[in-house]
Amino acid sequence: MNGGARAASAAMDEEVQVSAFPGGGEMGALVRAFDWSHTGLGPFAAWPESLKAVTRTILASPVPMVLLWGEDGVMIYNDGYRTLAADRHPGLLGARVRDGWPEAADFNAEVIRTVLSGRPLTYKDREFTLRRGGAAERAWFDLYYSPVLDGRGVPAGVLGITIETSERVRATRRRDGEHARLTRLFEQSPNPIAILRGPQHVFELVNPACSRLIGHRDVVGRPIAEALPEAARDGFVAVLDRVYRDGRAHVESAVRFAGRDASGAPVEDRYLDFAYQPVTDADGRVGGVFVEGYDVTQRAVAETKVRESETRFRALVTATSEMVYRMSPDWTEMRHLDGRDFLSDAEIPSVAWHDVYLFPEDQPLVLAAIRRAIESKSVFQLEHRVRRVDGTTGWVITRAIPLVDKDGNITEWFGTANDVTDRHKVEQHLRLVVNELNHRVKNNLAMMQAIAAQTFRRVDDLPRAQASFNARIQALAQANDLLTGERWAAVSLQGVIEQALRLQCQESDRCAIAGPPVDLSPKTALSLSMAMHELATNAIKYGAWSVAEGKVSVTWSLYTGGDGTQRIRLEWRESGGPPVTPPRTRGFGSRLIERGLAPEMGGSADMRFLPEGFVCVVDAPLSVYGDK
Amino acid sequence: MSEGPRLRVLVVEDEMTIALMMEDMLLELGHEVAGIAMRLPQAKALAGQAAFDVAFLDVNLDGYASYPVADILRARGIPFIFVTGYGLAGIDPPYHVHRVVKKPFEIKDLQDAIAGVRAAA
Repeated sequence: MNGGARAASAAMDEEVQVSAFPGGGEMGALVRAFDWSHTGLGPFAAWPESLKAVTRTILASPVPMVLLWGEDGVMIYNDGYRTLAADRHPGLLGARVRDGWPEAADFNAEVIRTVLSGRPLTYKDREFTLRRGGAAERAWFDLYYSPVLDGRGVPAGVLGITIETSERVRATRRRDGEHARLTRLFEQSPNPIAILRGPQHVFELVNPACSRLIGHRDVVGRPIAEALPEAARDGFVAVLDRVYRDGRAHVESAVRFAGRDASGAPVEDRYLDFAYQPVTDADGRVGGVFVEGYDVTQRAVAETKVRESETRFRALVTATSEMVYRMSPDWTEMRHLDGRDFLSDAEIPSVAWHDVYLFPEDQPLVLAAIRRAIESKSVFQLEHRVRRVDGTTGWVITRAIPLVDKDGNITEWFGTANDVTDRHKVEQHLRLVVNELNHRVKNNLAMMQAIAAQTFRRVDDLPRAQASFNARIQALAQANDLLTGERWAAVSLQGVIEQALRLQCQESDRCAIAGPPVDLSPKTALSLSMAMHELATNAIKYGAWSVAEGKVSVTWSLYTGGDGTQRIRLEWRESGGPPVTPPRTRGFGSRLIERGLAPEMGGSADMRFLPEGFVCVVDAPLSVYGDK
Repeated sequence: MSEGPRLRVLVVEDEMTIALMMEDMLLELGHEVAGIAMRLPQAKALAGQAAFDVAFLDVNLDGYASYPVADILRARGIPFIFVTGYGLAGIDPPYHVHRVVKKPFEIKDLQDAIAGVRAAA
């Protein structure tokens, strides 16, 4: 063919080419204008009819399509495919697919090989990494490849419908990712979460924390009342019913949750805050309830402990017999005092407490001790006198401790006080008793000393004096016994005389004792005892009791004296003894009676040495102390 | 044994044996016993009326403190000496200024006490 013929032929071909693909948009125009002679398809005029037909179909279709012709896969595509081609358009037209899409060369080679062997191929969301617009990006496609037969019925090309699904895939992936994240949150949440469906509250979802809480019981798909029998009893079903019915969220704090293990056996209780959230369906109706718990067991237990501790403290304060008080940091103000009927109560703060509870003379002592405690921030402890609620004097032992804040400053003093008035009285009494005992011992020693001095004064017969001394001490001891038996209270005159004479006169018919009942003070009783001892001793030595027939009578009578006072007249009378001669000198006995007993009783003594017998009369007021 | 002038002494002592011993001791010291009182009423009576130069005063008179007697003596300006088994601790603070003889005592204790009173006079 010469050049002119070739040109004429080409022009005619072009004409035919143009008329062969009417329409088809941009791609239609491009295909028509394209010089196919340099491609694997050859000049248009030489195209088989089937190729022309399928090209027409592609260009007419709004669906993105590409034709890969021949084993090289020479590409013809339509407007729909342009988007996919992006910046490779229009370079892809007439190019071999492995050149046009080098990054998918292997894939396309496989597609061509397969489809040209007569088998169609379908891909859903096939992922590619394509270089489009400068950067490699992932893209997804639904791909439908089918063979295009030539005139002889042999597959000569591949028709591909290429629908990019990247956007949908990305959206799905995003949604799936979110879902996974939510699921993860749900699964990993430390808070028990459950979703219950329908009016029977069927467990739909339970996260592991919730599973743990309910003892890993299998609950999903079962109504709560059946799956967790205790839930109805503990009020959870009622709450769920309400939330489901009213469609309003509900929150409960520190709810006790009876823990159960998988076998349903109770374990340690938990405390949770619960949030109930109605879950609405697409149509806006409440279809279920979302429940999330927040374990506050530690807090609840701590609060319970504080509450119990407070209760115990209150019980202690109420149960104790001690008075309880609170003072301001510097003690100027008494904030409260529970006086237990011993001190007056202080219900409202008072600055006048010193004057209410302390006597003026005790205030310096008490306030000084308080000052020391404040300065050293240490325990205040003191036993001191107080003015009781009835105005009388009492004693307390009190102890207060400072309560300090985190900076070490005293915020308050808390103290207790114990009524030790009785103990104090006992102690005082005991002190008196000890003093009295000491006094008596000293006094008795002084008496013995005095008796010894009298007995051994101008002694010419020492053995006799010693015997006298022993007898006198004996008499003193006996009198003491009598008084001790009466606890040093008043003793009877009769008893004193009987006891004093018992040793010296065992024969009762030789000793007559008679008189009305009279009580003596201990001191007088002791003196009378000693006097009786001396008289009896003399009677044995020189008087009535020195002979077998002699008798002694001791009698007393009461009478009213000239001044109207009651008086006693006590008489010692001896009879039947040897003739009496007055002694040359007065003995200790006489002196004891005249200078001792008589003044002791506040009266006088009269001693007569009558020939028929010795007589001694003591005349004295009945009591020198009136009513004592 | 006597030193200085012969004094008239009032003995207030509720224990008769002790009173008698004191009497003996005072006589031996060359003094005169102006009276013996063993109970508070007699002691008050004697303290207020009797003529004497010095008094020995038992603190406890059969259960009654002898301070009223002391007050009378003080009012009369007559010196006195307490006698007690308690010692100074057994005497109320307002009377601590006065001389004290502790039971049991010896004749020398009485002599010293009288000498002390005399020196102070």
